[in-house]
Amino acid sequence: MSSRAVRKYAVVFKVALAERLVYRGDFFVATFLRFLPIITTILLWRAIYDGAGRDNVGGLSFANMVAYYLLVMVVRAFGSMPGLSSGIARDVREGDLRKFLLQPIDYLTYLLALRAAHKLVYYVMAVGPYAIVFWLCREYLPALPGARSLGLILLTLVGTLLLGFVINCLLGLLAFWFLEVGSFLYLFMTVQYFLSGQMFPLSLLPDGIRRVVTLLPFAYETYYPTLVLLGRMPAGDIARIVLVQAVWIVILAAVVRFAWARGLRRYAAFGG
Amino acid sequence: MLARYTRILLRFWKNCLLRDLSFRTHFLVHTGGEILWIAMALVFLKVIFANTRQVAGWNEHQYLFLMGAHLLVTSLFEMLFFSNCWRISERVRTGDLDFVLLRPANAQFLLSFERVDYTTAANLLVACGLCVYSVVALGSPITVGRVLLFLLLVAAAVAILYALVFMFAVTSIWFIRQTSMEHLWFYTVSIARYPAEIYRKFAAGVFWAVFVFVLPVLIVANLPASVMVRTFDPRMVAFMIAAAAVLLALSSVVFRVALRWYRSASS
Amino acid sequence: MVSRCTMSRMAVIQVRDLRKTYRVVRKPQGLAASFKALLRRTYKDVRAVDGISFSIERGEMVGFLGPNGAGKTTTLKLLSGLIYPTSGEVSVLGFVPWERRNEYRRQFALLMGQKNQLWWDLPAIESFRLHKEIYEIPEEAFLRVLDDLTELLAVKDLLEQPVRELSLGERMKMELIAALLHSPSVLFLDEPTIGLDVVAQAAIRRCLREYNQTRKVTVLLTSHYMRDIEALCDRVLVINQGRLVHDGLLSDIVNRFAAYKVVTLRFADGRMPDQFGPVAQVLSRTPPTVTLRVERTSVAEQAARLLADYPIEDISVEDPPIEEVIAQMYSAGIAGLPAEEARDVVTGRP
Repeated sequence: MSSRAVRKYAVVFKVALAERLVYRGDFFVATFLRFLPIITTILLWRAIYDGAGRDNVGGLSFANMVAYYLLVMVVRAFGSMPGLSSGIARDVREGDLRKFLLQPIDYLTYLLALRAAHKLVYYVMAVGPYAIVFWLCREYLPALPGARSLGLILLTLVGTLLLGFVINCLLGLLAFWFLEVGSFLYLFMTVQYFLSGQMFPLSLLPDGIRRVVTLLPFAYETYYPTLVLLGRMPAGDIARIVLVQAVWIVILAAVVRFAWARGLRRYAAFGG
Repeated sequence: MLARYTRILLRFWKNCLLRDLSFRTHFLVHTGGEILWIAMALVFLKVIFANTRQVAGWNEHQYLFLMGAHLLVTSLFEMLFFSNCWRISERVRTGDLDFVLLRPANAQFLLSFERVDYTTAANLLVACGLCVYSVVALGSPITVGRVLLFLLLVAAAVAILYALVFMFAVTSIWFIRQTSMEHLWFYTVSIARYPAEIYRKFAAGVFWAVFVFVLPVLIVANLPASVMVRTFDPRMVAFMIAAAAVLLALSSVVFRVALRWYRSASS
Repeated sequence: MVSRCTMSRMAVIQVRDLRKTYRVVRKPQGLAASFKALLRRTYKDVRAVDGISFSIERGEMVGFLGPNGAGKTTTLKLLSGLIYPTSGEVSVLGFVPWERRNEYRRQFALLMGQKNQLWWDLPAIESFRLHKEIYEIPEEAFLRVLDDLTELLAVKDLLEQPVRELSLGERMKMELIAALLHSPSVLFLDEPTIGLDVVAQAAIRRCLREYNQTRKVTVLLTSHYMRDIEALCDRVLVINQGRLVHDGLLSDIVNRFAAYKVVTLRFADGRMPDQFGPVAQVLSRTPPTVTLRVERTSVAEQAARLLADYPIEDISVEDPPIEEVIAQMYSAGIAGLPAEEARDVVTGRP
């Protein structure tokens, strides 16, 4: 990209940053509240482990299980793209897309810059509440990773972000073909909660089902990165996960580009 | 007067059914979504009980019944009251509340019952299915008395949830809330879902005490379920019914105070 | 005071020294003020209604005029019992409106233009049936009134269509029907014809007039369209900045506040003076016609002089358009009139 193009997206980034900073106040409280449902889940698992009579369920000890859910929050902070797919769907349906097509700016890259800005602000602001919660739960969390793994771990998180981005873009682009895409999105988000391992670690699933589920990109959006953060993987495995993430990102990004081009043609044809 | 309000209620329900049926896709998709959620929850249940015989003293079938009772109570609330409570602040903002105040009928009734969400009707069916299945699988004796008590407590549970959420929605006329109503409902549903015993040791028992006796959210599913498939404390049953009555009365008071403020301050 | 007592037996609506003041947060201007506003909010008192009094008798159709923000809607809301006044007394049909008694609510209706009371996605008839239950209208009366009104407004075949599919005019007609279904004795209308096309406006006016004449319904109506007021109301209340500045005949406004008349002349042979004297002002000039604005007191004199000096084919003398007069009233310091003088006109009304 030319330097002018880079500058352009950098401005988008800065403006989005400024917008986010306005909502500081309620943010602090809201971030803490996000941890509430985890408390319930963890208390449930405590009861399950007590009932099981052993400290191993699905290959995880109770401490691991607590850490799992906490770390899912961190991974979700990278991979979740709230409003992205519905935003794209809305722009397509209500014709705002025209505005972007007229300007010398690439819609999808613009969205990526926007998201990156939002994410960055979120991380800066969320560091406080997250740090407090993690410190309170420090006995459950694994030791901090070594320097060598750190690089790979960061790569995994970036992979999560990009993977989340392309998946949600693709969903939003469905709006070019389906009128009632909103309902479909809702269904999809529901299933994704389960398939990505947010509901519970995928290792708990019976073998047959687990094999199918882990073939899907969602497992690489949340489940595997969380295991990486959990520190229970040798560097070689982490590298493999990053690789699979990259493959999925490339494939899905290509599909997104293709869908975008096709969709635009259809959009123009129908009086965009 | 009861006959009249019943007739108004039936009108509301008929109007909403006509409306919901005219939006078929939305109806089907949301019903589908709800069923998916239930399916996922059942998978989770199977996963749990593949690893343990009991959770906080509830065995698999008792736990399944709890799930059914929870679904029953929350679906009833969502069907009858959720969208009405949710719309209150919007109605205040647009001035639509004024039209409700013009009618020669109780404003709280009109506001609370106007909309019915039939897309959660499927949940009700599934909930009943889960309850019936688990009770049969348990093989424990079912008496008419127990069933009636169960239904009474379900009604009390819905009343408690209604009163709490309604008061929250109404007082949002005063304050600007960061936690929206959807979030509040989501947290409430999450807390009420599992056996209440798991909260006993949390935060030195304060959490359990608060959410059983002050904001009785923990018992809305647990107590009706216990009555049906486990042992229960009759004092808790009495407490729940009393809590429902007290909270309903309180919601009426809060509503009137909020209305008075609204009518003094607006122009 | 004595006349007021005898009238109160007949008066359906009685308002005495009504006031409504409310607080708004003062919006800070500029950066420094914005920071200060974070620490402490300052308020401003707005006097929406500032001591108005009037009486309306059964069967009267009264227009309520005033610029935007003058207090018209606030007054209607006070009379409907939707809001509490700051002070003053109101009695409608013997009830205190803000007590919101069911019996009172069954006897009046409030209709607000561009505001939707009907269920949007359903046919109007379903909303009407709901109304029937809420207002406890007996089946027979319900059907009869519905029949009359749908006939009068010519919307019989639209009853089964979802309200969202109706045009604005058709929707307003349905709203009017909803307001009249329970046969109210008192009708408050806030801009009922706003945004409607001419045909729909005429239909609604016709319906209101017929209703007022046959059923002796007391009507208080606000409107920005002078056509509505002229067609329907003999008497108008003019409110400005919360105060009543006129209470009497519409024609009285012109006599009282219009300082001039509009004289149009057509000259016979195109000969036209350039100047018309100090008391006449040229409004428009397109030979052979010229339109002048002449001070009211000088009209006869000026007309006589012109007729004598020039060959004039046609002459007409008219009142200025009411809109103009009222607009002038709003802006030209009428608000400065002492309250006593405004009420002076009360004694002169029928």
